[in-house]
Amino acid sequence: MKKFNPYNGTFAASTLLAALVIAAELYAPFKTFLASVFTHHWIAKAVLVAAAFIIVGFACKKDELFGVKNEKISWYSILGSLAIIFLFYIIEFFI
Amino acid sequence: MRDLLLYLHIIAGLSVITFSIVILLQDKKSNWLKPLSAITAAISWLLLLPSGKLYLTFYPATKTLIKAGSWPWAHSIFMETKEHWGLLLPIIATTAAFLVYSDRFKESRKWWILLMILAALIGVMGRIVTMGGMAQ
Repeated sequence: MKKFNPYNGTFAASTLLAALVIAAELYAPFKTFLASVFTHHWIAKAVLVAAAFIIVGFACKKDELFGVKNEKISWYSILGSLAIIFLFYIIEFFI
Repeated sequence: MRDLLLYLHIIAGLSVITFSIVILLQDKKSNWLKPLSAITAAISWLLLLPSGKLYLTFYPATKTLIKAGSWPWAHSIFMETKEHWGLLLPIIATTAAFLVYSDRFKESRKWWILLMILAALIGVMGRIVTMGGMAQ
């Protein structure tokens, strides 16, 4: 279990998901590109997020990221990602 | 086929919530803790299969209906959020299970709580989306 660091993987996956959601909604050609490569943009996001979780979890074993304990940074990045996605769709609907 | 997938994804979602509660009620020395954690994480990954199939194959017709109805926000806000929040369920469950396997049960508790709350919220959003399909 020491070989895999889930906190770093979680940080990478949640940050990437929020970035992918916003980029795909604001720049239509990017959403089309994701769909063309993975057959659907949702599948693209699922594959990329899972890959980020696994690759970063195995590749980055540091206990600190940017000088902050990775336990804390992964917790707040996942909460932040959930909030950003929800707020983004509310704002997008009303604007 | 649609109904089978629908019930499968609801049952899997409810299992994730129930198992998270059971895990939180366990003593850290319980023999059930590690296997139950692994099973919950596995279910959260498998949950993507019926959910994905439903969303990609059967949802587009419902989406058209919702967007033409009086609750277009049911899709634009709740379905869009739900489909993306769902991608983080297996990440959270796997992190929680890894912490249990690393004998850091106390540290895993808040991740199980988050998993349980998130799965429940996704279920509520699913209900709102269904109601959106009926609101004309």
